[in-house]
Amino acid sequence: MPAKTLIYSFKHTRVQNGTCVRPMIPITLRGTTSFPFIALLDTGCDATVIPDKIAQLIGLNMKGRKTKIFGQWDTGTDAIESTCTMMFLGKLHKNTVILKDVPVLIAVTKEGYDGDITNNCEMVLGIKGIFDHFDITFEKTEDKIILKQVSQSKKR
Amino acid sequence: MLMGKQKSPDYEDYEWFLKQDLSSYQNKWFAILHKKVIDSGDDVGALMLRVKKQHPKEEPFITRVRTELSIL
Repeated sequence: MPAKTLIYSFKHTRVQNGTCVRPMIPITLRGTTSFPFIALLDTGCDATVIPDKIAQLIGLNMKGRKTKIFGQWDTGTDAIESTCTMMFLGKLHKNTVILKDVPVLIAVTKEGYDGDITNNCEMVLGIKGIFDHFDITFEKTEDKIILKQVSQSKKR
Repeated sequence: MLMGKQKSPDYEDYEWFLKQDLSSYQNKWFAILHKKVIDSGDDVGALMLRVKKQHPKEEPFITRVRTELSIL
């Protein structure tokens, strides 16, 4: 099957004192059922992070190994290792790329605390399990995020 | 858990999302269907359940946009 190339645009967002642009792309997550999301593609994030409420509703395995994830200045959030199927949506349905068994971290909501990662960050697509499958180019001046599928022989 | 067979998500809804100023939904989760925000809230789980109940045959996108500058 020939390698596919997906091209997305940046999301311009108004923030305090101006605007910023973020690479947000359309995906569908599938566990025992599926749901589409628009998620941040983050080269600074080691792994894909999914809030536990989403993971439960799409039926991901929540019994994996426990770990912790850390942001720049936070004290850590409990997380569970899991996997899911991830579909990177193409403008034409035939261009959609399906990745199976993508490793993800499920961020666990802290009991009685509303300020944790699951309520305060969007879903983040990180390096592990995704960047092995695509060569990714960010062309801000062209307003393009290019995901070029990597051939099997090139994967490490 | 959510069940049922749905249509594919509409890529045009993603393109619509890119063009909109959605800062009025600051830091909330929201659902997009047919080029509209159809629901929003702080609790993504509750939002997904409401959306699936109201639109069982459709595939609305769920997303969230931070309106603060953020770094890792």
